Amino acid sequence: MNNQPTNVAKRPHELILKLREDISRAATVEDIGVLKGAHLGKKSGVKTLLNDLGKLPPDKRKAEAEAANKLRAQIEEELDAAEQQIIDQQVDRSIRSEWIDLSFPGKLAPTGARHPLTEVERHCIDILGKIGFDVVDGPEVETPFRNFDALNIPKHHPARDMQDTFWLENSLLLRSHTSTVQVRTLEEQRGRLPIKIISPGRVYRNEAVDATHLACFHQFEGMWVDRGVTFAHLKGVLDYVVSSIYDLKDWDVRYKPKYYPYTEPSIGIDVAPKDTPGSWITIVGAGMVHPNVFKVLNYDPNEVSGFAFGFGISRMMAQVHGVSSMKPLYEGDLRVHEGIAHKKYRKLEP
Amino acid sequence: MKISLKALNRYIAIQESSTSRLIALFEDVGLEVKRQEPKPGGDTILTVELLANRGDHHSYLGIAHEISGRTGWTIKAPETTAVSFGTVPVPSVIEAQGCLAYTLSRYSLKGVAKGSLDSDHARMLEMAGIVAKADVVNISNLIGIEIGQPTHVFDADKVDGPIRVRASRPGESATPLFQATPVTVPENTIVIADDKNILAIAGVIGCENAKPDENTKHILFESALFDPVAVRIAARAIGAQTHASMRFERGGDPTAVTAGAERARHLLEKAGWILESAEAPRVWTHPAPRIEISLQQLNTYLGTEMSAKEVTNALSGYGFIAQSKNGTDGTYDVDVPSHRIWDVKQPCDLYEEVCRKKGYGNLPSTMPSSMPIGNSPAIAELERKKKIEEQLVGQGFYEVFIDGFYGEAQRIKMGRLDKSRAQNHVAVINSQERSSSLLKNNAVAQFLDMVKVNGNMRKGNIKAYEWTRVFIPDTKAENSLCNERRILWIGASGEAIPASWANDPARPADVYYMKGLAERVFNACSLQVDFQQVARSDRTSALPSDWMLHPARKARIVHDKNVIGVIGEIHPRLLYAWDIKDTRPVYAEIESSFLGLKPTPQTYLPPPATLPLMRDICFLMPPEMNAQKVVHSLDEALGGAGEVTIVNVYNSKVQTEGRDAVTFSLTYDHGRVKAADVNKVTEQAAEYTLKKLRNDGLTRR
Repeated sequence: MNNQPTNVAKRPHELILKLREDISRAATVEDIGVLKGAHLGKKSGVKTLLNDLGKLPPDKRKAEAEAANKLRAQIEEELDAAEQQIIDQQVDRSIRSEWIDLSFPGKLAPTGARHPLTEVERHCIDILGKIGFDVVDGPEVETPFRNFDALNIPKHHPARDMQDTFWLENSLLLRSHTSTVQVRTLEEQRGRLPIKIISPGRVYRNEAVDATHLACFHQFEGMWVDRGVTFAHLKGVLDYVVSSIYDLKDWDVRYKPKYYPYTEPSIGIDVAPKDTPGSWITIVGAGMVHPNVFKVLNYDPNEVSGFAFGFGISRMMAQVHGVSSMKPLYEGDLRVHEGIAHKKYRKLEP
Repeated sequence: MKISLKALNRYIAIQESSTSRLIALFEDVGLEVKRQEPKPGGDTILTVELLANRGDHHSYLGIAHEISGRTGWTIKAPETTAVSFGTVPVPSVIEAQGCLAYTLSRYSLKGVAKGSLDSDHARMLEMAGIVAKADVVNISNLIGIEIGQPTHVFDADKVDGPIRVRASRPGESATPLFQATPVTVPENTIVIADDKNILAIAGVIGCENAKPDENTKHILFESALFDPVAVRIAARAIGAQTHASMRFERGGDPTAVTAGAERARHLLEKAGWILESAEAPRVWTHPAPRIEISLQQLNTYLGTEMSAKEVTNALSGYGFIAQSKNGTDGTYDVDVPSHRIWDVKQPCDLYEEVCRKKGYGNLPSTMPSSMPIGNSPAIAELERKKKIEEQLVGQGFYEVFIDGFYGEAQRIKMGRLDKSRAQNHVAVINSQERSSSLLKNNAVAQFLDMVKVNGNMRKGNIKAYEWTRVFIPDTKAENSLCNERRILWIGASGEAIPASWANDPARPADVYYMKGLAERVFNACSLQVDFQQVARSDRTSALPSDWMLHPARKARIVHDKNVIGVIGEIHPRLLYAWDIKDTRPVYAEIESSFLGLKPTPQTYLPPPATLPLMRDICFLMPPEMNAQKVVHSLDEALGGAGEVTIVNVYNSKVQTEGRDAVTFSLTYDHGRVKAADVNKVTEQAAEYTLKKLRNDGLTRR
């Protein structure tokens, strides 16, 4: 606004006319602020009117006071209205100028994710932790005794074919299963029962790597050893675990015979979605700890019994995420991890 | 193993018409069906995965027995013609102890050979992939498939002198069937030989020199049993895995030796061959193994309440004979049938038979009554792990799993930085892949592989972490080979914080970003650590990855005077070696043992009731001097003047005389320092610090 407010006329009508003239030249909220000073401030016409009320005779004072107050209210109202109008206009202008394209993707520093196998592993640890299983770790470089002999797999046993081994110097090897941790625990805990452990970890198989074979992958094994542990207990614990992971309203579960050198009897658990019956996937291998294992580790199998189990966490993970090959998940290809952690929506059926 | 259901019906009276229910039955008894292929004519081919310990399953009759054991369906044994052993077809000498039973029958062809195998037999051979030109060989192979007794046929006219079953001698060679050139037979392998040649590797494969063909008129038909371990060693030594070796490795059936000879006679005579003589120079004489079991112990072990009848019936279904020891105490002597002598050796093996008969799904399931909740250090460490992961994942990091090894390619690249350190690896002796020939002694190499590979995929922004372990060679280690260091590594490359659409530029992942991340990790564990930058020339770190970081841009992570990690930018020479351009990856490595460290005590300080008083001091830092040194000095100077907190240390990036100007912001609590004294206290702290660090070259700006 270029012109400052002119001298205030004392007559209300003139004051209003003057106000409106000033408002018509106001362009910004700041201009209105100046006008508020000029028209309502100490030197304003309405203030003068109010100040002069004392000079009036008492019989006129009341009526003049009411008129002056009414005038001040009107000025305030018109200034506020003008201010609001300017604000509205400014906001409207800025809204028009601030259009942005929200078809652009959202911009937030993306979150990462645990490895999908870790998620499954932790879930299983939580479930087993609730019934007292403890997590135990062990070395990956092991002795043939702990990897084979103590597990009822003598030299030249056909079972050694199932797990071709990476051999190191000093006749050591890279463990081909985490059962070595169970052997270590039995060695270390002798006499202290119960033993209730789970031992998730990395294992190695000396195989030519292809789409379905990995030289390095993860296992999740556990063991419960005590006096009086029965096969029924094994089933009870496995039923609890499986029903904690799979909603049995939607999944069928079955037991079947398996063979592992270190357990007898040995079983497997398969699950299949009820809506695709017959598509069984083995998720657990388990069995009663073989007496030969107890004997070689100086336990009396007539006194002590136990069971061991291994979860197919890769298969569970594959079920959860629809992953068909584990290999990319061991190659550090972050596109794969991103794809699993932040899945795309499928187009909905019309 | 592939089997035809139509052919199987020749060996057992299948009483289930539904293929899906039959498959369910197969799987319930341990015969896992991997695939089914319907065929014309109502047949279905099943691909069955057999249990590794059940050699007796490697035949139609074996599978039939397994099914019959569960169902009671009638077994239909193939026809045989008795063979009377006693006449000598050819002098034979059994020298090898590993030959457990041996028969040899001589046949001659009278007239023209007739086909004795029908279409089912042909299909069985075809599915097994062992169709031969000579009909006598097909008969031999068929016997292996149908009753599980491997047999072998020699052309009698090609045998020179007596047959000897003996150990091979040093330097001997043989030409196994279907091979053009001889192979060296390892010493002490059991072989079948005549005076001149090795005719067969016992239990594994025959040899070319006595192979029957379409013109063969006289044959020697061998049905034998060999020691499982001897066969296994031989098969591996010559690299041949055959139907015979797979069967023998799992332990053959001693009674099937005669059965094989008798089945052969039946089929050969149908084909026009006449038995001339037969002998059995080694006979299996061992009695059936006997195992004592107790009904009470069985029920205790399984958690069941099975009756004696239930148990004995289950066992007899599979061919075991259970006899009560005294009729009252529930103990039984169980005789093991000959086809199970290799895998049934003790009571628990018999329990397994009972379970299989009953069906595992029908056995009781009971939760143990006492299940104390664990509260172990491992669980506590896991909780810490989770807290750390929440920080990392929240910052966009992905957990990855990388192999525990790498190969020569990585060693060569590391060698460009330091050859001697690159040599320091545990080697894998027998790796099938070059890429897995060395156990990794650091995780940096694989992180750089990741950066490179993802970069090639146009994925330039890397944020990854892994809980893993590295293998440090150490002859003093418990295993005399190496120590396993459990570590957490964190790597970042490219953008740390992405650009906004609204002109805010992306922030690269630099070493300060990584340090901030590491600080969060330790805060999440309530652990106070120091980051100590060491002299560029320092090479004393025991941490394996330390030497792979930028000498001027790395720091050690110290907790309670112990180095527990390292953080820094990747060494530029390694970036050249990995051909990584346009990015400066950063890396942190922390020993996982920190998960078990006692938390550093922390206390809550309520915010001051009044606005803090703040003063800034700016110093010109000498080259390669840590600002933290100044911080410590200021802290020292202010420590006695009340509660003083240094809230900000930042690098202004103003270059003065080639030195960085760094401003330190000091914050005072009104309650500790009066407003009137703030300037004075600040100046005193500045003077104290200048005096203390003057020799280092610190000056005031």
